[in-house]
Amino acid sequence: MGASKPLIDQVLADKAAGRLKARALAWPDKVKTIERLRDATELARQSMRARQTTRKGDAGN
Amino acid sequence: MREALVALNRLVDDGVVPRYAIGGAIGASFYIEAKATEDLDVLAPSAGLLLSLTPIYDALKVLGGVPEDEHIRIGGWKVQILPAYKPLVEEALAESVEVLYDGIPTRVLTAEHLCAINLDTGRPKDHYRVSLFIEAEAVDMPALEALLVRYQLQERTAKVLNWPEGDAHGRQQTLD
Repeated sequence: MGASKPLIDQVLADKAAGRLKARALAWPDKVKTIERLRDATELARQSMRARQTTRKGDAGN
Repeated sequence: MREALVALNRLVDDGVVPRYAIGGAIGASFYIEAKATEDLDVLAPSAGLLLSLTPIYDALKVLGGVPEDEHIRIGGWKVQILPAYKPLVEEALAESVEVLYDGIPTRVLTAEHLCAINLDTGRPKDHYRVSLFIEAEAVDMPALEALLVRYQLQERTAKVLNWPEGDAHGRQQTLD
């Protein structure tokens, strides 16, 4: 086991590095999904604010 | 996101901060499924920052950032700079990993540190996020448990619904 430990450690390190690289490749698409959700939420908020402003205006007439 | 990361890297190049790392929900999205957030949480060393974040925000304004409450908006993101205000967070920043985001170098907290910080913060959504890491098998449980022991956070796992049976030392609970 002693002689093969450095080899096992290297294999594990390579596996971890590979996982990290794969995650980094997938990350931008995940962030773009979050950005789309963020932008859609902001549009919805702006729309609600505009409707509330219109209703307040109508109530004052 | 690219714009925000380029600006943050400029802070490092210009010596405004020695380094930074992405945490929070965006940091978590590196490891698990994307969840909605509006904030980009950025950890930076606390030296000089506990009193005032003004130098950082001033530098980001020069790079095109727009102040918004306690955030600064860059590239559509509300960037919040969080000084590494306690030993767990300092360690998280020191052990953050360098990765490429669409070719741009940046740093992200490890899954274990993200979970430990979530457990330390302790809101329902933090416990939920830890459960997502566990469900996705995206966190090294022995490494996380070692962190929890080191920072005395073992009790916090009780509110994580899918925390594995057994205590932080791996002992199975027995029914007597």
